[in-house]
Amino acid sequence: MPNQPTLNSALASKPGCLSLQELERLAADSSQGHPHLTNCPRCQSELAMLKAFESNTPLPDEGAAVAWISSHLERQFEQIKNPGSESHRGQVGSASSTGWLRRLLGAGNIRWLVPVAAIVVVAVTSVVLFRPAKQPELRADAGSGPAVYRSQEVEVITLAGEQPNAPKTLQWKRFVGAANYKVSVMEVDHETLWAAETNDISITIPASTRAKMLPGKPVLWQVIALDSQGRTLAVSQLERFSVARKSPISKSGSFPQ
Amino acid sequence: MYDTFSGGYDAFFAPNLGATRAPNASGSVAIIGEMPLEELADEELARRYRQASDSRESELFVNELFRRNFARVARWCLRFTDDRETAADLSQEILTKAYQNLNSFQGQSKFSTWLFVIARNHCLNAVRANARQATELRADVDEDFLADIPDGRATAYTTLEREASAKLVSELINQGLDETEKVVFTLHYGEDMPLDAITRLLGLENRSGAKAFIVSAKRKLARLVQQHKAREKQAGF
Repeated sequence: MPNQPTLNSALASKPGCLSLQELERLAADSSQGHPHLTNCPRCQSELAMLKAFESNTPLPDEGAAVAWISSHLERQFEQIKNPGSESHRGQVGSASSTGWLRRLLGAGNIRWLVPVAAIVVVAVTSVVLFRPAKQPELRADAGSGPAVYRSQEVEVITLAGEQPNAPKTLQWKRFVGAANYKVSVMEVDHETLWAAETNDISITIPASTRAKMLPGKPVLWQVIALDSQGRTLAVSQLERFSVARKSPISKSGSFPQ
Repeated sequence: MYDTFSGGYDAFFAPNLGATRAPNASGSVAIIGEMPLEELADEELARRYRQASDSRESELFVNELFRRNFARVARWCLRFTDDRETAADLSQEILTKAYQNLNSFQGQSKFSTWLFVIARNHCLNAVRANARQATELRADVDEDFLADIPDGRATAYTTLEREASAKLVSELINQGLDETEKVVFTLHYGEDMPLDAITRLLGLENRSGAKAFIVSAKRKLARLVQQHKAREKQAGF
């Protein structure tokens, strides 16, 4: 690429480029203009990036991931404030996990723990695998009303397990301080099927989304409580359900036509 | 250009909102001079953090300041990587850097703008460090249009010629590209940002995202370069 230096030079910042304060002013009030801005692609791109950073509007498919990262940051907050403390490291990312393992193995005085731990794991696994099978207990009141599952934050009035039909509504309990709720319906790989916001504690799933809930296909859903500024207050647990497969035999006992 | 974190005037801040009171029993909402902690502006929280008389008080301010920016940083990193684990790592690194430099924030700009500088530089550096990814993405769209742009090195290694070529390229970009094309072009070729990250960052909703804008920008630039060459030829250069 022989001309890359020329291109870099053309797109680099120049002495007349806007200061951060000027960009901030322009980002806050898009009706304002600046003579330099119209002729400087560099400043235009800086302004576009600043606006993107300032914007609280999430993209359609990023709500659940943003909530997940926010809760990760919440858990790691002490580590953020005290990066020297090793006890919080290694929850996310393979690099940090490798470092943790290396440090553990590098500590000569606890090397003997590794084979001992391996023996314990093998023993526990054997017990779990070879213990006699036992049927789960059945609750007499199961199915008599909507069970409430307590999640980490937002309580979901459950829609979990196998459902006879694709559900029409999703419900949860009001979270104190929440102005809105963001609801996401996802496939098992967390690909968003549908997401919407409401200030109510229930939401109707559109027919087009319900049509994607095929029998036997697991579907996930989650509610995020947001404050009036659009900030995440709480996140429900990831609920999982599926629509029951239809029996080839109809209720009348005959095969469907 | 935007690598400094410090500033210098406190006049930016809102007037003193009163004395600090202890947090309430739950610890989640503190009352600061009749104003709940969560109603204080970011800049006021940062100022009070710096001026806090003890560590417990400063913790209160910094916790609120950072927590309210978790989602903003998370969203930014997610648009750069589109992978929540990597984005979580990047977010944590950005907030660590911000915390370590918090005392240098003096209120010359909004706190979010100051945080943007850290996030922007950190993510762009991370993207550039990932050379393999950058090469793959650029190979996807790079063609020979750059070869048509006049190059100082091709004739003589002089700063003057390089500057003249750069000025011409800059003029052609301004003259021929629309605003989105300019921004996409600059982010991709000037900042080495991957096209899918640009698509997410700018919220481009067309089918092929930033790639479509790069393709049209290249086409327009190639045409302008040809026109420029023809004019030079006519003029006898």
